[in-house]
Amino acid sequence: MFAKITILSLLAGLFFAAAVFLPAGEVSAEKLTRTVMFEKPDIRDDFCGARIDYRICKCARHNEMCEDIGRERHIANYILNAKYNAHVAALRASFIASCHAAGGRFSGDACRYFEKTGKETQCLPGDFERNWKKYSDIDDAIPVPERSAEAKEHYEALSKMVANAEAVFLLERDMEIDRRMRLEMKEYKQALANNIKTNLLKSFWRLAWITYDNIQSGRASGGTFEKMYDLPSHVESVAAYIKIVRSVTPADSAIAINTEKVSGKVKSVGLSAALDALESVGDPATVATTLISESIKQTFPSADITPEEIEILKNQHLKNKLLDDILQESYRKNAERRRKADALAAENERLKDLLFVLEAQERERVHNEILESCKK
Amino acid sequence: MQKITFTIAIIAAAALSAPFAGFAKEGVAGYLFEYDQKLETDTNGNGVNDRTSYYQGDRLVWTAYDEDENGAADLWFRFKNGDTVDLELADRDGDGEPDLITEVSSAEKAEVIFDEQAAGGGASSWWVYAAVAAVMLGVAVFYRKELLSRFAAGK
Repeated sequence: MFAKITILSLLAGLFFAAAVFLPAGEVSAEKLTRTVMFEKPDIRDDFCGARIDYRICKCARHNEMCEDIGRERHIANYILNAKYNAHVAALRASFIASCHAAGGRFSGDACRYFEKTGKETQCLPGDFERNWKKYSDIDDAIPVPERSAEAKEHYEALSKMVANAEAVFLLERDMEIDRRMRLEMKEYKQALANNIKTNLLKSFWRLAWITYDNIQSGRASGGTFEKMYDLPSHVESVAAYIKIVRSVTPADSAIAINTEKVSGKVKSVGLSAALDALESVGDPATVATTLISESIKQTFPSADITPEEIEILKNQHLKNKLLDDILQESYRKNAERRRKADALAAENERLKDLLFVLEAQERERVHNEILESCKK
Repeated sequence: MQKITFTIAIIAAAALSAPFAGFAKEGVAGYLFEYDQKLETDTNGNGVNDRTSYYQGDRLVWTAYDEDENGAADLWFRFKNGDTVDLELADRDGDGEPDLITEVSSAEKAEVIFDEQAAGGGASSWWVYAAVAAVMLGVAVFYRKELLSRFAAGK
């Protein structure tokens, strides 16, 4: 019985080792000529001091200098590992790109180069190594239902990545708009507390314009600040001007990204170009800045606000802590947006890995198909 | 005479503690803060207070949210100068203790400085250990007779 268990365990171990360590694509008849391993840098020799403040390493590894950096050991340890892992991931991505560019195949942290067999030399197109995709089903011209299983899965994963990237873009844009609005609100608060009427009005109307632009364009960042304009009806001149601001803000702001165009572009190109396209969607911060600049360009009514109305605003916004309420809610919403954006970005990293695997499988399928159909 | 001394001691103690009267201290994950006013708010109007704002004077110092409304805070913000968040803490596993700590720069760049789940801590890894231990125990119980006889034979 014991012997049986031992043999079964050994077989399971061998099976596991084979599954983990054998590279994908080894079933091909191609001859392996060279293997280059990806090597992680040494955290102590190549990372600490060179890429990160050495005191973080001292604190994390030896519980020394923690007071100097104002961190507890477990925090320093987390920071060290997170930064090291990000550094390794960047190096690995660069290694993979170089491997593919040189005609190699990456799997199991190794780049493998193969020599063609006689049949491969005769049957495979001359540009197969570099342009194998044009012989594959990863092609926008082929209707999705008619593609190979690998190419269909590739399409699904890529579509998901594009959708995620768009969602991240919109979340980051809203976070930046909220941040800019909070800065404007701080200006308003100071002006209100110090009775600086000109500044008070400037910030008040700018915020109103951005708030209603957000609401009318359907952006999420509108609602939080709207409370600021929910004033008692007897603040007549202010109420009248709010109506004006509402009416002049555009119903369809020009700062929205053309997601249709982006999706179309991404789906029509291969993996590396698609990833570039995702990155060139634009900078969410720039989009938010455009919105704020638009608000500055607006000519706002020069409301002759009375001292009584200023008192009402003070009472409503400062004494009742309404501005603090808006501030806290804005930070809470941004924290939620950040968590969502981080989760989507992490999912895209996983999908990126999946795309590489699917491309390798599709390449293998096309390779075998060409050889099987070759009569030479 | 003793009575006078006692009275003086009481007055002195009261005078010394006067500046601190009305102040309270709290701490979240080792981050301590003082406040003199606490405001509870029902932010979504469902009758349950889900936000506590801590003030020192007129200045907002901390905010604690109870997002799942179970009576325990699960999201905290520390405010600098009464209007800028510089630290955010979150309890995602519901044990009442923050497991995600994020520092926020003045330009609002957020950097996670501690993530218990990513660091491999927390309940999830303990469940894995417990499951592995249970399987090992199960195997040992299943083969106990054979094991015991082999040990006995070995002796």
